[in-house]
Amino acid sequence: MITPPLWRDYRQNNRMEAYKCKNCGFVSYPEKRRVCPQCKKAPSEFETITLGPKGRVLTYTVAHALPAEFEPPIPLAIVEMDGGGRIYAMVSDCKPDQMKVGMEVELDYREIFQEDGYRVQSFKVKPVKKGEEPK
Amino acid sequence: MKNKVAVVGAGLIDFGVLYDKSPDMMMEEAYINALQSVDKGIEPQEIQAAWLGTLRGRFTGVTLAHPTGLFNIPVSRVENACATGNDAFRHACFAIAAGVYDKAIVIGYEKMHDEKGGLIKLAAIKDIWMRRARTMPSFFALRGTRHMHQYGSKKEDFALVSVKNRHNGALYPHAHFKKEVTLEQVMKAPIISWPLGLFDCCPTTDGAAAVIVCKAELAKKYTDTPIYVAGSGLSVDSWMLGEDESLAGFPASKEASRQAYEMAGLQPKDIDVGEIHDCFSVTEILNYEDLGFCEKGQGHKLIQEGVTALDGEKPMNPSGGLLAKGHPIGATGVAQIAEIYEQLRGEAGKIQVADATIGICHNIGVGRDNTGSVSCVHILTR
Repeated sequence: MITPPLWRDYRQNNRMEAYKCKNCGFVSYPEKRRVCPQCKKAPSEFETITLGPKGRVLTYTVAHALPAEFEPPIPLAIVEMDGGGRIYAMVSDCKPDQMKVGMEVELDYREIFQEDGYRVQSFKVKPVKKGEEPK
Repeated sequence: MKNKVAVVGAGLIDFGVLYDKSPDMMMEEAYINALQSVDKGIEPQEIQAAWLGTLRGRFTGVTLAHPTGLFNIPVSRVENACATGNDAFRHACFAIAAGVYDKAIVIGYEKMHDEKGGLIKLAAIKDIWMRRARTMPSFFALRGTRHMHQYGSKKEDFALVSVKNRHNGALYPHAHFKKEVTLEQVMKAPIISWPLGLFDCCPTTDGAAAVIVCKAELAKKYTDTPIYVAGSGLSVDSWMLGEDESLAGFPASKEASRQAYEMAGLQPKDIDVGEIHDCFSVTEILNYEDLGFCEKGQGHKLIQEGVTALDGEKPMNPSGGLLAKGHPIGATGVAQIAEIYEQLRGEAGKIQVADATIGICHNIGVGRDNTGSVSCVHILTR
């Protein structure tokens, strides 16, 4: 059963909502909290912001061994978003050998899987092409 | 807690693909081996409390009572990802040091082969960030890529760890894999999660281990060569907090070892031998740095120079580590304690490190959607 967690997290998954601590500026994503893991203020106040849309690859891997639900090889990255927040994302529109630490990427809204005919859409990231603004 | 607790017995079973053994049979064998290892003997009735370490085992400590007959005493079950074994041991040490009990047993086990799918599928499919292809190998591979980028290490350096540990495992009776591999084999193996190939990853292994601890003052009743728990530490981290340190290493390992060194009044240079968490080859390189054996970013130099080889100045994973011995999660940390116990008593046979008097045990585990880790460290002394 997957629906309740998808429903609970839809603002993060579908609207890219992130939560910025008003005390220290830490950006929490996807966790919507009342306590800040960085400055430890509890409770703190959080401002709702929109993540990204651009960021930089901090590190990556290329996953070759994956369950049947996936079509490997799939590049995966940890991305530091402009404006704060770190995400874990599959990388689309990018060949494995084009992956580089430091490369600029942007959020790319996609269908990530289907279950029982239910289409689950969320983000991946893709490389920013020069001279092209993110949509 | 320094030196208030002594290890007086340790038992392991041969790790491997144990389809013929149930969890009960595995635990029973480790338990009997631990009892029989006590030099001057111990009666089951003397054991006052027990801790069970298992990640996926059945609920509650009753799981331990059935194969050991240790009913009518307190038995607690500990789970802390891949740090489960060391953490279960830690809790037994707390209870002894606090003076609540005089004698206790810790048993760790994991049956990795009775379920299909397993941890890789679990990580890739479930949890909050569902279906984002996250796996255990990728969690560590991401750090490998970052280490290569930031510090100039190479895939070959990681491969050297697998070559070393498979060499050691070939000499260790309890190891799952007892066959050496060449650098070329490791380098040419199919990629699992770049830069890690098949031989950079630990196998899927069943296993169990048990250790008996007691109040230090009582230790000589059981053996003339007890091993003392000098230091203990545990910490957790997350790369989501924004430290770059957590991209090419584990702040949890650094902090857990800092706590253990501080309690023991020892430094990284004092360590003679270690069983440290090489779930993937790159992890061992990161451990060298996080445990303070070298500066940050220099871990690959230690493997290049043979410092951590069996005949090096600071041998790491003489048992073959997780890469060769295997990684039955709850058993792993308890087995490390048992192995360092044998090393410090000079009973490690073909993998004996000469004149080892101070040893370190270290686990690093993954949790929270592959974003966080937990580390547990113990320092044992003769």
